[in-house]
Amino acid sequence: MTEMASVMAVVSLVLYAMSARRQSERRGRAATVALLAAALLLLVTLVLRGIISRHWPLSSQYEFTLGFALIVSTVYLFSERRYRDRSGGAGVVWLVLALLARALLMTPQARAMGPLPPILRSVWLQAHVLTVMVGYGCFGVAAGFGLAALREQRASPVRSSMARRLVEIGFPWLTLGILTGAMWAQRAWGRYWGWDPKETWSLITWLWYLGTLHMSRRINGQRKRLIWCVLFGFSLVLFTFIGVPALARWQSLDTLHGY
Amino acid sequence: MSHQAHTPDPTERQHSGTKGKPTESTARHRDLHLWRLGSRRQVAVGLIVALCAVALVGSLFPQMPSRLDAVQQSEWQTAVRSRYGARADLLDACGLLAFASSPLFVVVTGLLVLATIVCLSGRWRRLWRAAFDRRVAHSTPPHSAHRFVCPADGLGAAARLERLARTCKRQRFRVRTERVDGIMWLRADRHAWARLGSLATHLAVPLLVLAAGISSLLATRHDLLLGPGSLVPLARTSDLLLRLDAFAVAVDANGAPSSYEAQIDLIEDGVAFDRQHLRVNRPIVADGYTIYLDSYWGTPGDYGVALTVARDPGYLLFVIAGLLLLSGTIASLWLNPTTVWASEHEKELRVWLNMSRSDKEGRFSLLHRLGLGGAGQPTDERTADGQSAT
Repeated sequence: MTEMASVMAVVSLVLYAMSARRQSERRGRAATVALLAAALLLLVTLVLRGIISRHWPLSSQYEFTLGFALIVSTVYLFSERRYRDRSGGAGVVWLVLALLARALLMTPQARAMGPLPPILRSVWLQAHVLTVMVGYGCFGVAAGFGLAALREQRASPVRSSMARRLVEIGFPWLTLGILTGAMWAQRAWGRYWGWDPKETWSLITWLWYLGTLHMSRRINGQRKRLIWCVLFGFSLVLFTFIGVPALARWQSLDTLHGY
Repeated sequence: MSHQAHTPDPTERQHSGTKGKPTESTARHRDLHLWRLGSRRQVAVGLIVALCAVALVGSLFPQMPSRLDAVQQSEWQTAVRSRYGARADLLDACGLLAFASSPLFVVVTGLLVLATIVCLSGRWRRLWRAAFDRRVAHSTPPHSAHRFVCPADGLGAAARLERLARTCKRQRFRVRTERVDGIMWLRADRHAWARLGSLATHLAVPLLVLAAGISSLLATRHDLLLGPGSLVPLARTSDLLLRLDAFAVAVDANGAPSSYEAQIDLIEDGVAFDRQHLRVNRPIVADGYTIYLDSYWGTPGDYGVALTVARDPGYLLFVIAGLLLLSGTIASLWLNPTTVWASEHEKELRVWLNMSRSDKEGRFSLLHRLGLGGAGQPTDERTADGQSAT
């Protein structure tokens, strides 16, 4: 099913690119439908995994990657409908494809469904993963619209304000995600903050977006700077998600986020 | 979450060029300058970026766990030395092996907290007033309000004002009207209280840092090994003893433990007064300490458990500050406090809009939704003092 979702995402990417080049509304609508189909396939995949494994289907790197791709697609589809703008579609679908490629390249052991270790059986973990993912999804779509705005000669005020709005929507989700993570850590290990590399990078990401939000109210004439901040912020998100486990392995850092 | 510059008393300006021996007023002016600097948004952004940079560099190196005893600390340092060799001393001297307690990180965090408090103290009165101000008629609308003049159509100004009141109610505004000096005024508020969101987020920052400070200074944490049948004191400052009464482990099809549970007897003065079930993610509380089940060892019928006993007086404050931060960010970023004032005049309806987050398009969109766009093109005019009509 993940393979089918990837195929639909590729179709969607081609159609979004063609729609942007030829200003074709019909192709744009078809691209939206293809992305919606990919999102539905991912949703079905996760629901089935949840039913078969009898636990919340966001408990491994594989499931989190699929969930991230699903949330990015869903947030983008909502924003496309809300703002009636498909310009960010290609950038967002590239991200979805990259996430799906990461999931498909994982080892069979990483993709296998299995019983959860006792430490992962907590409602706080479920809340933590879901809220962080929604925040990341909003930042991903903001970066997609940011990329679209950068392609233009002068950064479009509409797209830069869409990017800013998505950061405004995503920021409380990330805040909630960090808080629920801290509460889970308190219940599981008796400490709510331990300067684990993942925690530190979550804080860096959170601080970066906090700075971006502080700045964005005063840089109406400097939209490109806002967009670069949004893009850099999303690179921090990706590093927190993908890079930190690699950093921990490379530097032999102790981490509790190895699941 | 915005920082505004504090406007000094104009009478202070005449002293700004005074040369020679510093007087009381020049010192005050210098204080005001520092105060203004502390409340500037750019300063806050700079400090946030500096904090990011320090944390980023620190995250590249192993961090010494807090609350280690002397032996554990020495073992940890030996392990780091074996990895980094002579560079370990340099990293340690630079504070990179415990960056969260390094002077640089502490100073930058302290400055950020200070800037937040300065910003908060400069704005709380204005935000509080804006959130709870209920005056309908006004002679000086807020500086941030935008003024529109809508020429009266066939209905006349009074009827338009009534229609505006109805439309505002439909749009979930809270509407009040008042007649002053023969002029009918209308005030409609939506999410006015959300203006306090900025206060909540700014207040949460020092509280979070305070909670972290309390936790790092006052929290205690130690490990306990509880063998079958053995009695172990809960903590040095507690008279309670713990005894492992029973332990059960369930395994999955692969033989891996899927769940485990310990029954712990709490004993005081030789009497077991309570029995508690302890599981991973379900700690129990006894004598002000929280007991966590970490792992187990042994063979069926002869199990022992590893526990962590912790007490963290900063946690409650952390939760309160976290909830304050969350509610503040939601109010600031998801809601858009809006106030509409309108007054009827013979040939026109004068309307002021005050929206926390809006561009020109957003303001015109609201005007259209309120039924004020169709009768004629409103004149968007930012009021500097609220006196001039057009």
